[in-house]
Amino acid sequence: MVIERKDSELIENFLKGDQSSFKEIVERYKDKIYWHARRMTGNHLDADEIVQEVLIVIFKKLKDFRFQSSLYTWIYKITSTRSLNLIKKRNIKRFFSIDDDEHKEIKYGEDIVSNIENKEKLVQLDGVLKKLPVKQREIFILRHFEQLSYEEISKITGKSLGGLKANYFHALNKVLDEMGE
Amino acid sequence: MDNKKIKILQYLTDELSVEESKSFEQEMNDSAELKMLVESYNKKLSSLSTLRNIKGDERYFVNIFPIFSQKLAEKVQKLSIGNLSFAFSFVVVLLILVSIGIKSGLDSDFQERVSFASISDDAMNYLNMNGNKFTLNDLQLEFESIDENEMSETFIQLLKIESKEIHNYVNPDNLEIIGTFDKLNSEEFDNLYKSLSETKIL
Repeated sequence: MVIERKDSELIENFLKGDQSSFKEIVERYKDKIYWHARRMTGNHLDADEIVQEVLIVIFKKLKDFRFQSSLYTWIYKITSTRSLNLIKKRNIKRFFSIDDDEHKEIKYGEDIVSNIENKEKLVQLDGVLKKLPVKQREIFILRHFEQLSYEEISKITGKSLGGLKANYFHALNKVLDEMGE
Repeated sequence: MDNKKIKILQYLTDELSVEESKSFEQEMNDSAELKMLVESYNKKLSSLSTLRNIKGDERYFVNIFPIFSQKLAEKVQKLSIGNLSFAFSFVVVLLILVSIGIKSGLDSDFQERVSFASISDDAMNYLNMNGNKFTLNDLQLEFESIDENEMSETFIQLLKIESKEIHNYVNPDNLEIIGTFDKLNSEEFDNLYKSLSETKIL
């Protein structure tokens, strides 16, 4: 029987020099990091870039982790920040027209989802999510897909519970309306 | 969004209290129209929920850690090479500055002055020796050997300019500066984004 070690235990062991504990943390959270970034950015290449950036940040900053929040909300916070930054960066580049068509083709051509049915669903989802303002998209993804509580989302985004609920329902309403079209 | 819609969504996502749910169910029993609306939303919500379960190629996830380890090793290696080349170029800059210092001053076409406040104090002392200040172009090569953070801080200074000038610096022909976006850390990027947003060009 495999006994799963607690996050705090893994962090402590990693800080004592046990590299395998870091690997275990990565194994535990890599899917969550990828899918959050993927839903935020809407494509595989950007998500992949964010995954690697987030892992580097975790590796560097884990020594400063104060256990004031759970490891996964901390990781979500890093992933969210990185995703938002990348989206902003893309917006700036798009504004100055330097995100060329060739890059777009590569971006959308390469993917880890090959099943046609899943791919269609994902395209549909990306289309709907892109219509949400980016902050609302973040809240919607954290609540609907990651199924985090409002309290956890509040820790990640720094927003009030009331504001989060209002934003979530506005987003949900928009998404459902879009899906019905 | 009207209150009825909010109530339906709250009901379907279990966000109403027990009493509120009961009262809402009573409302549904009394109104066929409301019941139909709830059913239609429920259908859409179920369809949306299936999108949670999309799976990707497992091989990608298996390779995440090995790729990370490789990137980390490359970063560590790059950092040590970077330190060495910084030390080397530091000496070169020092020698150049000493020789320039012998001359009476800089050429008159150095019109565009740039403050290098974000470069480390030691480097700045040498770079600004004898009151000299350098243009971006003059030190472009030296930049390549300066720590990435120091460089990006310098660029953020450059980019914190009035809206009219932003277009001069940041345009598709000036890919050198555009490329620096990739080198900004989160805080710097936020500052830049904020300053660009404030100019209402985004």
